[in-house]
Amino acid sequence: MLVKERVYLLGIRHHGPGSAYSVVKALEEIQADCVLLEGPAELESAIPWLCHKDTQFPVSVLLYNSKKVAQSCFYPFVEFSPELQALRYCNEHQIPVKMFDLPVAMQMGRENQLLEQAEQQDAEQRLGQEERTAPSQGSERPHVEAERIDTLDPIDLLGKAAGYEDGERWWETLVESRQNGLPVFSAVGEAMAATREVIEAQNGVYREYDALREAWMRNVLRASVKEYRGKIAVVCGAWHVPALAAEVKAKDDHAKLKGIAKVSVHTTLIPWTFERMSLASGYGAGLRYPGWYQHIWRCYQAHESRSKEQPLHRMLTQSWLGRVAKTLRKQKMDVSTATVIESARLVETLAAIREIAMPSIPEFNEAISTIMCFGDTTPLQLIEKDLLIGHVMGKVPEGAPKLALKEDFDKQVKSLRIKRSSESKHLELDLRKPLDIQRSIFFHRLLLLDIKWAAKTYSSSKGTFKEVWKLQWLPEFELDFVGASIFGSTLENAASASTVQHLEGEAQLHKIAGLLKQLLFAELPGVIDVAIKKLHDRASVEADLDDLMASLPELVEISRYGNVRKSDVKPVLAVIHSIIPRISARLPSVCHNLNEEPAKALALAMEQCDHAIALFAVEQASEFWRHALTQLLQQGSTHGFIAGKCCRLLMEHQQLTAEETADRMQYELSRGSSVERASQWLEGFIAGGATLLIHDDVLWNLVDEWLRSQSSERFIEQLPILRKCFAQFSREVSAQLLNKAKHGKKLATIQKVQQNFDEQTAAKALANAIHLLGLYEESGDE
Amino acid sequence: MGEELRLPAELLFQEEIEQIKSIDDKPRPSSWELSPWGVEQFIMGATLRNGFAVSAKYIGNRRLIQIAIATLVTDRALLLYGLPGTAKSWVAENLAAAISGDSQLIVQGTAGTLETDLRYNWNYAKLLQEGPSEQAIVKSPLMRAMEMGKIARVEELTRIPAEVQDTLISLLSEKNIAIPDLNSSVYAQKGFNLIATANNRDKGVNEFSSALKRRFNTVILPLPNTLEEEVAIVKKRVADFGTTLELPELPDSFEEIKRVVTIFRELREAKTVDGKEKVKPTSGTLSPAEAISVVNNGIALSAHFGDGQLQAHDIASSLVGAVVKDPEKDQVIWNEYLDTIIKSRKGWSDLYRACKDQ
Repeated sequence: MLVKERVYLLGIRHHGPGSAYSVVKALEEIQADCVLLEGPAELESAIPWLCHKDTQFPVSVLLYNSKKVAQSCFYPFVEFSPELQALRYCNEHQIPVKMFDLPVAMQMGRENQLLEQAEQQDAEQRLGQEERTAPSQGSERPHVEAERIDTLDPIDLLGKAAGYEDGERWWETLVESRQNGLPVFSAVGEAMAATREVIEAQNGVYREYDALREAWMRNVLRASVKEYRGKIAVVCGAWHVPALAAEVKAKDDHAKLKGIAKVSVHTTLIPWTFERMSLASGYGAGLRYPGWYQHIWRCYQAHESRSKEQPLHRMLTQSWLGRVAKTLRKQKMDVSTATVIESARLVETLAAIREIAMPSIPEFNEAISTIMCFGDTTPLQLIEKDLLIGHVMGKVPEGAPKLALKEDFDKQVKSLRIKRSSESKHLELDLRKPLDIQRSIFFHRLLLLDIKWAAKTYSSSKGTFKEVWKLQWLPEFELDFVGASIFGSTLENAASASTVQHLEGEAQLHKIAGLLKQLLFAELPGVIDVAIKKLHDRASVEADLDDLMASLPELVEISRYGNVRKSDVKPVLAVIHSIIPRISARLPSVCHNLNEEPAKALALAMEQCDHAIALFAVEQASEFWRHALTQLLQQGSTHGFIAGKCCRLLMEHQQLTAEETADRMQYELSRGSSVERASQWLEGFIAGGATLLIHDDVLWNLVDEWLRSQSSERFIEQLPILRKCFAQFSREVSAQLLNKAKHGKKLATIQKVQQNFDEQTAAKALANAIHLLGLYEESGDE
Repeated sequence: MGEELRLPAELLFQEEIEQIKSIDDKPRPSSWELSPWGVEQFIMGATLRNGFAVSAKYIGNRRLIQIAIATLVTDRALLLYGLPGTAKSWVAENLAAAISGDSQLIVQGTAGTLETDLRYNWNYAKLLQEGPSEQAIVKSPLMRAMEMGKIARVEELTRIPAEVQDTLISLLSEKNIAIPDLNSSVYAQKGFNLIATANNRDKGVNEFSSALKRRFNTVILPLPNTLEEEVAIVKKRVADFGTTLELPELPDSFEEIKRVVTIFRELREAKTVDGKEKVKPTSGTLSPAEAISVVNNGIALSAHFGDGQLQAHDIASSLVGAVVKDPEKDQVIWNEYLDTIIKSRKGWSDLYRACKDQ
């Protein structure tokens, strides 16, 4: 649309291939002296990177407040963005380009001002002031992204008015009928003026914020008109065309923009994905099917180069269906060439019946489901994910401005000499070496930020100085840095701030313990203190028994690792000392009359606590625990499973002798107790111990004795119990048990040999053994 | 004409077809009575620009019908697939009526269908007398459809034995039937096409070979999406049957229809219409067609044996009969449903009592 004889207003649809195609054609025709593009002024610094030969699209320009990283916005670019195509054209033909939208510095400044105002009003209201006067700006509550979103897509409106599904299809008919170039934009300009008139008549000024932007844009336009004698081309969203064409006094525009605060803004370039294109951005509402539009774009270009031998829509249809067939074949669906041909015909016939000039996604999907999928619509979901949206990720060239956090990360990767590769590799760390400790700390900090490049696997060695990490770099991690960078600009700061936030929200003791463990490994002393304090606070409160029991193993682990890591873990020990008696005191009362499932869960938790307390190896604590177990054993209302387990645990700790255990077993499995309880008891006793049963002769003898001592009727009565109990073992284990039983005799337990023991020979042999096995005297490793 | 129980669609809706024909100026494929647009209006219902109202034959997604019509415009065969009682045969009949003016070129598929039923048979008397000749041939409906360039129908394609199904493969790709005995072939005229129906619920179904599957465009006709849609369908068909079967006119039985449809939906979808409670589903399909027949039964009962008002006890017996197909499992489920859901619904106590009395 031509105004003032030399200003061409080209209204486009952001990320629309039709618009992109037409814009380039129009620019070729116009031969402007200067081009104005819709985009905040800060984008100008990113232009050389956008036109860089190594840049692979989609990429996004991320702009953030340097003092408050959380306040940010992004402007994505894809291959078929009209802005990008215009940029490239200007770059090639050396035409000066200006980004003439309101700078992000002012956008964010204004948001902050509005936020302050709103908070002030809230405060006033709380003080009980009547009749809050709502200022014209304050009535909108600003959110970081929401205000900048144009949810109205004006070209979509036009397209739908013409009877198409969306604006893109409508634009395609224009391109197809070769009405591209300048005439299209005249039509769009006029149509947009009419549309906007109607909408503004209905709803008033659409948004205050847009009015500000348009004022700024008009200012820049005026300045450019003065500066350049020749033609000026303006590429902007179609919605703004009428505003730019309008006659508005300069001083009115200046007045609107007065008093808006500015913030300092950093500009960075990040790789983007097609999946993320659906998010709303600085350019307005997201793009739902980027894969589809990219296909259209490629067809335009192919159409051009093949001098238009086939109508565009036919080329589009056939190539799209070909790709669909390929995708379905990969999923082992048989799609023959004949099927593709038939589908193409059905698509065209459907379009003819519905009287639309160009078939679109609904027609394609219907043909695909009818012919290729025999009426089934489920494969369409696959097509939506793989083709309509697509899995494409861009790349940012070396040297482009990056997020501060990513800079720090890259620096550390270099100094720690860690190789990044997209294949899965294992890295073994020896924590006695200073470099490896640094690496371990680095990986743990990444884990705290939820960046999953390195995963900890368990090493085979028993010592706690070895760690094995599995490393695999995936491009998606670049995007994780964007989320993480709101917490800080160095890895240390970001990890600290992120964990502090997690801690604040966390109420469960075992989760706090888990975080503490990770903090110890990541060596963030400031946060460790916070975590320990939180741990104390939570532990002293009446916490849930499950929570306490779940946290015990973690805490014991921390207390052990503390030695290796040279961290101060005394406070943790204090917490453990306080928890164990509490668990022991409460356990008996909780175990009254439980149902089967909770009983089994509790028994599992008890086993883990038992193991942890044993590791802790403090006599007093173990005393408390054993007391609890004994109580449970003697309590009649304890669930059979738990009672059985307690018996086994006590036996292992040598609190019960073999005879006492045998007596207990006899008692529990006697006629007086119900079949159900008896079977539960036996199950609890043997649970998880099938291998134990095979290898531990004491246990084996116990069960064996008891079985033998049953009379034959009693044995038959007890068959269901035994069946239920032993049915849980796998076939191999059962075979082994059978094997062992076949031998039939009581197995001799290992007797302590006391005769002919020569101390000196033994000592020498022992010394040799130590030497051979390499068990040197080390400080508390094993 | 006489006292036929049910006229074929082209006679039943003769006037509508004429009216559409008179204003139809869109391009028409060869041998078609109406243009594709005209067929769509006939099936989906519309008010024509001359004011005439065409009734809706299919209440559902318009796009499915468009796909079906588009299929028939190309030379692909159409397969209507879905649960029993979702209007597959009804749509097939109406499509054939609208397109060719003849919906009776039909082969009913059964386990005993032979190849001769699909191709041609011999008049053995003539054959013996004169030897092989044109006159000795007994043409199948498919062959006649080919000669006249009309739509042929095959019902219950999956019931036909697999060997016989495969006869259709070359028939559909080459569009001719060879008569080796006479050393000639019958070629299909333009306008010939095949509409097949199949349902996916039965046991003993002969699955298509993939070669045959490939020659059809499959359109799955779904169960109605919403309660309102289903009620509209049942209401309309009940009214239609009322006139056809000369059932006495009853005052508006909308409430009863709604109740029946609600019960069917809840038992089918395994949850109440408001989504708040779970319901155990029964073994039957409880399609709209069955709902229609339940209501029709009720109307007949009340008109001839009752007091002229459609009431709960009129529909109760056929309702229970439609729901309880498997006497052991379904009975238990039905009783549970009766006692929990129906009993507690406001205003349904009459239905509850009537069903309990069954």
